[in-house]
Amino acid sequence: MVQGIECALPGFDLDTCDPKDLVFSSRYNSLKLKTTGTLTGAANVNHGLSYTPVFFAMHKQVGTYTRYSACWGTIIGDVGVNATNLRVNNSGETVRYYLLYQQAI
Amino acid sequence: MAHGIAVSIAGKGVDSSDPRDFVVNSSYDTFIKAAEGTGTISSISSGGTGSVTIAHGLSFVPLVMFWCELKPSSGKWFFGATQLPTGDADAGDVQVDTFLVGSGPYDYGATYVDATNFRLQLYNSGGSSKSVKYFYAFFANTAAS
Repeated sequence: MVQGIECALPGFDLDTCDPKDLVFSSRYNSLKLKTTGTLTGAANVNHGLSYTPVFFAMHKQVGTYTRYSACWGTIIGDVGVNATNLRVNNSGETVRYYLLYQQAI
Repeated sequence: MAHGIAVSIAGKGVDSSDPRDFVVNSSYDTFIKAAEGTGTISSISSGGTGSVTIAHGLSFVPLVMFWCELKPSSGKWFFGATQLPTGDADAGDVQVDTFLVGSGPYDYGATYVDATNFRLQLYNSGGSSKSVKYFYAFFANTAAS
C-alpha cells in the first residue's frame, strides 16, 4: 500500500492524470524558498547554507518604462552563487533574488 | 504550539531540520504557479524578430520562467535567455532577444515582464523563416524590487 497526499487540478482524476495536472503530490519533491530579497549594485548576501544553492533572480530596469527581466545576466547584471554568498555585480540596477533549499552542485 | 503540514521524503522523518528532506513543509514558502501557457511565434523572418505579448492578469509583477524550442522541431528546449552562439547545433539560429533598446516602447529590453504583460521577443539570424514554440509560467511570487 502506498501512502501519501495528492491533489489534482479541477477536472482531473488522481488515478489517471499526468503529474503536470497535480496541484500537489507527496510523490514529487517541491522547491522550497529559503529567502528572498533585493540587492543594488555590487553586493553580497550570505546565504548561510552548507551547500551551493539554486537561485533565481530578476533585474529591475528603469528607462522610459520600469520592467523586469531574468534575461540580463550577461549584459548588465552579473548574479552568481557559491558555497557562501549570492553575489550581484552590476552597475547599480536592483535585483530581486530567491534562494532555494536546493543544492545546485 | 507550532502547527502546519509537513511531508518528508522517503527515508526521512518529519522531525528533520533539513528543509531538503521535505516534499512539502508549510514552514517554508515555495514557488506557486499562477498560470502557464504555450504558443508559437510564427514566421520569424531571416534577420528579423518576432514577439508575443501576454497579459498576466495579476495585481503584481510576477516572477516568470520560460522555455523556447529555439530550433524548430528539435525537441530541445532552452530555459530563459540562454545565450548560445549563432548556428549552434541545438539552438539553431534563433535567440531570445535581450538587447537593450535606448528609446521607444521597448526601452530597456525586448523581453521582460511588467505590471501588466510578459513580452517575449526572438531574433532569427538564420537564412530562412522560423516558427518557434514557447512555454511560460507565471508564479505567485513577485519579481519586483
